[in-house]
Amino acid sequence: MTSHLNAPSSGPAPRPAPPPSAGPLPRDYGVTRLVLLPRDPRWMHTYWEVAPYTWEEVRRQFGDAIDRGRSVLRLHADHGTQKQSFDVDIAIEARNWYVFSPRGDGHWHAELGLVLPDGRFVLLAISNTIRLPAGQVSDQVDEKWGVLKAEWERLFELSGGGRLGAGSLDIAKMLAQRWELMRGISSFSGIPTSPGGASWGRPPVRHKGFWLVADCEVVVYGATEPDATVTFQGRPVTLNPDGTFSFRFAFPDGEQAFPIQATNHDGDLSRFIEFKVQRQTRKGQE
Amino acid sequence: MGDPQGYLNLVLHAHLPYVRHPEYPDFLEEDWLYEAITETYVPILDMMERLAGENVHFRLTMSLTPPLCNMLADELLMRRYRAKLEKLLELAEKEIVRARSLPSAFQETAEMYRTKFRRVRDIFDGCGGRILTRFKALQDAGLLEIITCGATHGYLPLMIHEESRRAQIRIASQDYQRHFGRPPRGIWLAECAYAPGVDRYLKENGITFSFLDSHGILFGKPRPRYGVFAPIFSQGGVGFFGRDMETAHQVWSAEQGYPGDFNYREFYRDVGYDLDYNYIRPYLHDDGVRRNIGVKYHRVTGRVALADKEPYMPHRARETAAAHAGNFLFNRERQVEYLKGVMNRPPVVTSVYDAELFGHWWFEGPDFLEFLLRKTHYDQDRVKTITPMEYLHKFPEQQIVEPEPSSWGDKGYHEVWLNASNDWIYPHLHIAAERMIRLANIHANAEGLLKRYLNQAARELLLAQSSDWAFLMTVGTARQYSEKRTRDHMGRFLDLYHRVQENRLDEGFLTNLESIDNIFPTIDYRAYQSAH
Repeated sequence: MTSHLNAPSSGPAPRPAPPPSAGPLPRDYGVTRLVLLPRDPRWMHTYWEVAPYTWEEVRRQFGDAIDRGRSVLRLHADHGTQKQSFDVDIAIEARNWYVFSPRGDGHWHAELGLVLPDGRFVLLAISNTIRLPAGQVSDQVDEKWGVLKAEWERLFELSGGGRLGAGSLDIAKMLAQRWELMRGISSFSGIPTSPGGASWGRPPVRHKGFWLVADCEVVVYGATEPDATVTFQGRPVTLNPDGTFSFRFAFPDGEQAFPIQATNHDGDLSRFIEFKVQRQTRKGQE
Repeated sequence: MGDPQGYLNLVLHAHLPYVRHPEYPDFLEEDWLYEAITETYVPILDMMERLAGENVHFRLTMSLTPPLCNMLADELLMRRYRAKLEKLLELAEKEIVRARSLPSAFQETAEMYRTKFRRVRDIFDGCGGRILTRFKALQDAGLLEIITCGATHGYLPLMIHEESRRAQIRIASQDYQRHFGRPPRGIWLAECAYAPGVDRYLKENGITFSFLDSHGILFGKPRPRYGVFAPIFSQGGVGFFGRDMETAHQVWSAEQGYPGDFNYREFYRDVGYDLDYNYIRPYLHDDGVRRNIGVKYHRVTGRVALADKEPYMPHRARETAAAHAGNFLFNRERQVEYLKGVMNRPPVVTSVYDAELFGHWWFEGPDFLEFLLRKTHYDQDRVKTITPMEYLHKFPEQQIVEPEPSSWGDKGYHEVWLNASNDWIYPHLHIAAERMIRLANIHANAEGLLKRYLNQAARELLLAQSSDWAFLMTVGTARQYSEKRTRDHMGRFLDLYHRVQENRLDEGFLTNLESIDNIFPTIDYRAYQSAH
């Protein structure tokens, strides 16, 4: 056995040169593709690229009608005996989208396309197929491994049923909590709060009988030159390396303004977009 | 002694991303490894060897991930580590002198550091800096089960190519053989993340067991008869053990968890910040910025500001660790007894922790483990520690359940690795995987320079796939570094790819990359070939 400590060639090896910086990664790869990824039982993520050759092809087939088409993601779910499809309106320039799934489980794939004014669907790309997690206890019971319902419920509870996720992030959280306690500061930026404060992750409160739980969120997204400076609601935004950005927010009742300001690298050009959105929630029984 | 009423399956997941920068003389992020060796890996090794020497019965399962094994077997990193340790010893000596004019608690703590660092040095030097050989010896003695992980801790559910998932497992398996002289029997899936079909690749590589978070089992189909207290077999024939949440929360919980006890050492109060700058400057990095050094003299104390922390008292902290170990064991005895009522076989309680929690974050963690294993051996006979392999031999018949796709991340699924802070990486990772597979299929049996190019392309892809980068982007620490690593490896991959495609195989360019991103010296790019 040789030793690390007394390497025969005493003296350090010559230091390699840092490889030349490759610059930013390509924004496009010149291929048409749509990719679907599972995030959790209720959300999927998709991203896409539509290459010039695809646009040329569909323009040849459908003519200028495609300029009046509405871009959509068409989701297809296969739950065994039940199948389901629905469209989600998207902005094709966004290049990616988080899609809410009305139910967990099942096999899913997506199509990216345009719905023309006459209702025809122009297919641009088809995704891979994924399986979404179920997010709940299965109703399948194994005859060979039968168990009394009450016993199973106890085991489920003892197994920590419902208490999910305590991993590496929890070390970070644990330390962050102690850090905050000590310093008594609220602006510690090392550790995130749950991104977007989405409410889907908490189980809905079970009411007696029929129930409905719903909420909505705002997604703001955009893109600019990767070296531009962008502020959102007056605060600086860290751009993704390809110049895109997006945020998701909880969206309480009331009016909110989302001003976005971008300034180019040289500081002599800027662009401004502001969204004003209003939420008004009504609840009731009929 | 008769059979126990239940088993404790203790699993430590030891992992760090591959950080090695020979192109710089001094690199901050390499400290992750150096700190973990001094504070976690060697203390845990030392503890196991001590117990083995005293014939204390114990079983422990540890994942030593391929990036970690490659770093621990890397000559440059180990040489740098040894130099770091020498500096730490020098500081510890000076601290003995400085503490003479301080209250006795400080003297006791200064002594403790010197003893600990000397012990680490003796163990490290005693095996010529090859600490994996000491872990291997414990495995060969049947006390420790060393398991592997995806080749670079890649997050399998967010890979869309079967070949890409398979390569993570195959390359890990081959690398394990190199360090431990036999194939791995078990695996820790990175972030405990399971995707349907992954079990096939485990089976292909002779891996017979793995782990899932509790809901990975509880939400499985059909319903698991024993909850998380017995393993299940997947359709692909791999045994999966479910994580027990009670033991997880006992240690992890910020509010009630053991590591927050007031007697334990305070993580945030460090001499790197506390002491006179000129005194501490030689122990800081080249940039001279004050950072943690790993010598700390205060205890958690309570909900007080850093300035109000009270002195650390090593003997009192050890007593507390012993008390916590006793409490932990007492709770396992009650748990096992209670489970007996609803199970017709002895339950197995699977407790899984990041190894770095013990020693690095929770300074007294290795003491806690040692007390726990001693007490389990001496003080009772209801609960015994066991490895997954032993359990599967004892109870070969298990229910067949299809696991729920899941992870141990926040909220239980993939959001930590797929959100607005890191979703931009996937278009690049996926195209690179697709191109790697294409290259491997086109060049079925490359030789010479082309083979080296293809092997290096595989290394760059694998390094970019580490789940650590996406994780750090979410957590927001080392964010710039993790973004840069993703960009660098992807950029290098694309460069290699274009050179192969255009037949521009320059050796100098390749040799430089090989010396920088040198993980997996014996890698074989054909792991990416599609199955026929």
